[in-house]
Amino acid sequence: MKGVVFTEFLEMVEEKYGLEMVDDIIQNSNLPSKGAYTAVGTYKFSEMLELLQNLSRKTEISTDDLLLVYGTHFFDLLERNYPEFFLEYQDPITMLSSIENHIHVEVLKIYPDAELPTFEVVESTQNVLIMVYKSSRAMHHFGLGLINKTFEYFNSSATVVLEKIKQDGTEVKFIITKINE
Amino acid sequence: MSKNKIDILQRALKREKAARKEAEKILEVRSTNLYKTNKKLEKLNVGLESLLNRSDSQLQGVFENIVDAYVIMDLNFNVLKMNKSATEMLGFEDDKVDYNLVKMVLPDDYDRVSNSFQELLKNGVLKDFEIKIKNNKGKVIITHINASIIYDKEEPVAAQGILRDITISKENEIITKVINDITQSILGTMDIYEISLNTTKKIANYLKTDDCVIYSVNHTENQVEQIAASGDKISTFGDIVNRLKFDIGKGIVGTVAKTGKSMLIHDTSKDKRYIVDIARNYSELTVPIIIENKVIAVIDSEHPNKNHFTEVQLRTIENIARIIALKIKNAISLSEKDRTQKRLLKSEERLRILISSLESGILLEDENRKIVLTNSKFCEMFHIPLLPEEMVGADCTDAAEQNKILFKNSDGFVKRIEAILLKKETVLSDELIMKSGKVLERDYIPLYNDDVYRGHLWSYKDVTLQKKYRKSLEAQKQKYSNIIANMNLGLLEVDKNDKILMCNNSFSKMSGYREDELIGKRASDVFLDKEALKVLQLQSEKRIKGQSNSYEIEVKDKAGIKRTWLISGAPNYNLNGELVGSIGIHLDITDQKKLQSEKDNLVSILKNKNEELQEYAQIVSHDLKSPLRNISALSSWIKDDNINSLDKSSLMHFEHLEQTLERMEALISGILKYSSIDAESGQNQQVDLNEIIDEVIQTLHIPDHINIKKSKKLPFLNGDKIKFQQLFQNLLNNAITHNDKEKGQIEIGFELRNNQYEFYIKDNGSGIDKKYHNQIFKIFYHITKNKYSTGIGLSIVKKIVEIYGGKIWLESELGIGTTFYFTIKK
Repeated sequence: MKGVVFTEFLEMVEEKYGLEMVDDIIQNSNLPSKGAYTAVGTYKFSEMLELLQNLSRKTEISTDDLLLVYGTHFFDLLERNYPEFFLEYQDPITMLSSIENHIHVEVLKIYPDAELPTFEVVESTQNVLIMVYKSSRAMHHFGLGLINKTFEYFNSSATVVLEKIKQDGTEVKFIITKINE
Repeated sequence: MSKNKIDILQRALKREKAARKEAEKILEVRSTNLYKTNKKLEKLNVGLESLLNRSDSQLQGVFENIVDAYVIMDLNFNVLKMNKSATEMLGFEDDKVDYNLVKMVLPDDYDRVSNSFQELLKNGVLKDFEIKIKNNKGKVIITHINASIIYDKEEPVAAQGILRDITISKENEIITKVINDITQSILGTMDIYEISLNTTKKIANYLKTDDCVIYSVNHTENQVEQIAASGDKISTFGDIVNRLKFDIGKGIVGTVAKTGKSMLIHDTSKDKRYIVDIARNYSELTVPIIIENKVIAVIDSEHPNKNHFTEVQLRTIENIARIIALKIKNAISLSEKDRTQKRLLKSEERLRILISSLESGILLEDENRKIVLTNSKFCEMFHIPLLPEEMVGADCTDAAEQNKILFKNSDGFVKRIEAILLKKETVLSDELIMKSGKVLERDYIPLYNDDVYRGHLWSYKDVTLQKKYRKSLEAQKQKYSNIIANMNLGLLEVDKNDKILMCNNSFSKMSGYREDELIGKRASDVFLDKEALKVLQLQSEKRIKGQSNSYEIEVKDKAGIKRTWLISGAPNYNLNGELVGSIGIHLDITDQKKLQSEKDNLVSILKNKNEELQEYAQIVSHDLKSPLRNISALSSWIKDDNINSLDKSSLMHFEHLEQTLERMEALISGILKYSSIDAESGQNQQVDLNEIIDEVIQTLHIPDHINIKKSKKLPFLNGDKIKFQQLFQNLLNNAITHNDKEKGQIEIGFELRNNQYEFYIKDNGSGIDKKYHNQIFKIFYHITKNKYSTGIGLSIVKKIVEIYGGKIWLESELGIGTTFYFTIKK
């Protein structure tokens, strides 16, 4: 997992819960990196998992919800650093449906060793998008957060239904329905 | 700050430091990598550049000196760069020119060039573009172009191309194609016409003209004859009629046929030998086809423009001539063989037809007495129920025996044949009489070939009719000889000079001379005097003209007595239709003439007498009339003068007197009339009897109680109107006057009987007693002593009827009525 994910996560934790919390979850985790993350580095996903679990225990918020918040937070980074992607699209559904074929492709060009989920578009109409999320990391709620923020970016909103195809969350169907005012 | 907090911060700091160091390490690695990559790129770049430079200059050198023409132009076809070859090909002096290549394109090719250029721009390359151009020096060349676009920053800015002059190779291609085409097309056929036609068409096409002709050369007849022309329409079979023929040596073609050297003429008006056909063609190309040193054919092509044909074309045609020479020779000899064969077959066929339709029966046997040929007439003659074709090959050894029964002298028939066959010498006109009465004439002709006996020919002719004709002719001759000899008319035959050739018995009798006394003498000398000679000459002229006629002539017989002969002469022709003399039939009419002249005399005397009589009658009646008138006048005067003093009986006497006078006058007139009626006087015309009747009815005074009707429309008669009037008038008058009935009916009608009109006039009058029927027609005879009847009327009627060759009679019953009948010839 790219270092940027870790650095942003710890910054969010620091912002929301303070440095003590950061120190706490790091100390309580067995991290090969000893908690020293740089954005340009690469670290094992298991470290993120441990940090998340510790945070979840400490805050008594489910990992899913934590990931949802993180996803929402992470969106701003993307918006800040990669504005050209956003300029390419006029509506959220088109953008979301081209994550797999365009955005992630560009990402891989720059970070060839990035671990990215796959999105398979089952259905894509003007108002409905059905995608199947596949990832060993099962960070579906992170994705959800990004999706919500995407709609917000385009001054729109949608109802998103998650259907776990695999119980461990490594395969999830997102049914996204745009709300037309 | 609590220790906890410090610890937390310390740990956080430691982590930050570690993170930073890690980042730096990563960056460093990345930098080194980047640097290394950069260095690699630089090296590659340098390598490429040098490569480019090398290639560029190499290319430059190549392009400079390449054999092919290399041209760079801008997109408006303006020349930018040319190499040496291009400069030469395009006809420039050096490569520094300001020239637009469009000027070299021929107008017909504008579209093609424009389309290809579009293609070039689109695809970036254009390969194998062939086009004819006219270079700067005006030379027309065919070029082959491979071109490509030159880009600058992905924008086309110029085009470059390699050009090859393929003019000659193209030409060679065409020539090869023509030759190939021709050889292929003539490969499959031996028909001289087909070969020539195909060749002319292909050559005409190659030479770009529509006039190409191949002639065959016949040295024995010294003639050149057209075999085929490119303009021919394909014929179905056989020879063409009206092929152009002329002598060897005549015209360009004839000259080439003679010399065996090809000719290429650019302007025929400058060559005396050229023969003008329909239109003058200024260019001519003529090539002989030679095999075994003889000219067997000539290829000739013309074109209306001057300088149309080229040397290259000439050489090509010469090549073609060489290639097809043997083929043509074989085909010509084959066609000649064909022709001869055809002629042979035709004559064989004619012979066959001739024999089969001959009037003679033909039997051709070979040396083994087997039938080779026979015809249907033969089968007919000998009653053989087979067709001539079926008899071929049959054995005739027993034929004589089999057929002998057909002939009268059967054994003789067989023996004769045996004898003939033994001798094997020609026997002609053997006569054979068949049992059926037919007569045959037989010829036997043995056939020898190189003194070897090869068979014989029997020819049978049915001469039955001929014989009959001859017999009949003989008989006729006899008959006419007899007639001539014995007829009562004299026959004299003379030649053109009036020399007597022959005369018969009667003539001898007439003339008093014997035949031998007359032959050789001139007829006119013997019989005629000067006057008569003139007459004869006139007639002779007519004879010469071919006229036949009769005439009278005065002759002197042997005794010197003058006789009159009637001669009927006709020209005499020989077998060739030439006039050789005349034949005359002579009749002595001396006696008749005498009689004739006597008769003539009598007639003229009679005439005179008649005239005298008529005159007399006229005078008499006239003279008689005059005193009558006097008497009449005097008596009326006396009556008038004494009308008062005359008593009744005297007046009655006077009346009687007047009536008697009238009667006398009528009588005299009647006599006059009667005597004046004769056949010659009066007119002769078509007379409508109906009109006559109507006129008569008008003239007569018809009492009311009498009705005259015509039973049907009366016919027309030829004759004198007045006489017919008289006739009907008199008859009607009689009918009217003698009608005693209350209602009088008179009917006029006629029937056509025996080509005569039989008229009748029927009345219901008083009738006439039979005893008077014959006499009433006599002049002056009258039954009733009626003051109006003169008694002449009916005699006049009778006279008129008899003039017209008819008869008159009557039927009557006293008290009932009378019907007068008379006939008039139609």
